[in-house]
Amino acid sequence: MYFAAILATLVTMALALLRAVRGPTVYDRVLAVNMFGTKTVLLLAALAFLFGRPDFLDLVLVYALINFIGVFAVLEFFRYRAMRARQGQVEAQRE
Amino acid sequence: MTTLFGIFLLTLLMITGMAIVHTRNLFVAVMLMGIASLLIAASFFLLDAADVALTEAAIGAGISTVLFLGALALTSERERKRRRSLSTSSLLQFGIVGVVALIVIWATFDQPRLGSPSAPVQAHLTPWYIESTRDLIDIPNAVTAVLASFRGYDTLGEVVVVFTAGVGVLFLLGTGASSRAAGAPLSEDNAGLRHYLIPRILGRLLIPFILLLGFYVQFHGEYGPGGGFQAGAIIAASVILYALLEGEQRALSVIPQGVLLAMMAGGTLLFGAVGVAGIVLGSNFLDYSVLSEDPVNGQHWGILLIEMGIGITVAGVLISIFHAFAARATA
Amino acid sequence: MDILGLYHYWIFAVLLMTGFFAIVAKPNLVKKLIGLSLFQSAVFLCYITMGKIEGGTAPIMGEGAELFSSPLPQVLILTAIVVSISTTALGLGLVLRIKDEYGSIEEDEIQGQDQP
Repeated sequence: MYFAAILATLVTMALALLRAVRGPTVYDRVLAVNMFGTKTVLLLAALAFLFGRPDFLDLVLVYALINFIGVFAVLEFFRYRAMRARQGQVEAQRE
Repeated sequence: MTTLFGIFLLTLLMITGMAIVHTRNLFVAVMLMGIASLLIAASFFLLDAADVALTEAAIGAGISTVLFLGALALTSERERKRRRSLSTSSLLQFGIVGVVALIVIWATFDQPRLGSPSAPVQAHLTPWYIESTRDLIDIPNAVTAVLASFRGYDTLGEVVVVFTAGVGVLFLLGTGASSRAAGAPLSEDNAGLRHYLIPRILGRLLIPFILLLGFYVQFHGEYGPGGGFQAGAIIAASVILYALLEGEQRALSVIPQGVLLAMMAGGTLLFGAVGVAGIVLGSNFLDYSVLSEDPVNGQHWGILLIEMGIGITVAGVLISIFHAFAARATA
Repeated sequence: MDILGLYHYWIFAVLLMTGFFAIVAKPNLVKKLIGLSLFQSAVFLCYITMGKIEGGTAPIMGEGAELFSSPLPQVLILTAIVVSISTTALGLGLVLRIKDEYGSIEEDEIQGQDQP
């Protein structure tokens, strides 16, 4: 049963990677990375039970929380870039 | 069967690595590096390296992405377009890289196959370390025992390297605190994501839990995967999340620059002090057995204290580096 | 040829050279640092692969587990990961200062400005 879950998760990870590599817009890639993080959480949890060591769920917790921070960094990057673009436009109009 | 899973993950990793090098958009490269870090952590977990997977998770997906995106925000996001010419220099590059790759693959034919019990490292070293951890140190996590006690001198060097890198970044980029007028008004620039309601609420809900997890990983490092390096990275990640949400000024008022500098230096000094305590109490440098009447208890005390030192230094260095980068963005 | 047993080392070789190619062939400084990071990840993979034993489990002793993979490569790589992020941060700091001084992060433009 664990094998089936792991196999399904691996297929989903491959699809997410395909979208991240091909995706024409930037948002495709950001969403693909986020989905990849979620699937990694699932994969590690299934593997922890497959190996018979459920005390490794600490890793899975860490992963779930840290993936969150990566997405926030991307959001801040977009906000900063938009703000810089607006500042550049204001200065260009002033000249 | 799990070997096949490992092979599949590594094939995905190879595809991701080639895509990272090929793409000219650096933002895409950083996103793909996040995916590569997740794939590597999953591969480490499959190869029975739980502590290393935890470290790669805490550092690769969080801190590394934040630092690279900060650098991209301050420089440019795309490589300049080159003329696509098959000049002699590009032929030379491909040729040398291909030849060296073939040489390394040829060298791997002599390696013992994956998981072979007759490999040299499994024959002598591993049983000695496992037995000695049971007898001399008596903690369940053999990786922490080797890191903190058997190879403590190595680890002291690594902590000093982390401290030096932090000092180097502060020299290069400045702390940022002095270049800003005290009490600057909270303008749109340094506000972070505070005008966006959903990220702000969710992020603020999660920060205490991330901090709690960081402290858990720090103190539970002897009984399960964990330790100072991972905990330092997780605590730094939670402070960086607060800085991303509320703006960098707020984060500097919560943990001021002086406290960060004290953390950077204090952790390394604590580690060195435990080592010197070994000399003062009559034995060798970094010998923890003399820290208490019972040698095993002394080992526990030594490991606890140096893991705290490691966690404090790593957290201080990573948060200082983030502030050094973020200060340039608002300058 | 033992493909299943040696595949991890072959991926190590390919990743190593991919990262090295980025360092050598791409003139953008941030791309070089990304290639360096990939190179380091390949080396970590090689070390951890050497420590695995068949039928073993992670070297955290609990109830029931008897055979353990080697803790020594894991210790080396654990500290190496943290050191690699610190040195990458130092490299990125250098890139930011180079951008301030020269106005560009492309290697040929920087060298062009340095010519007397």
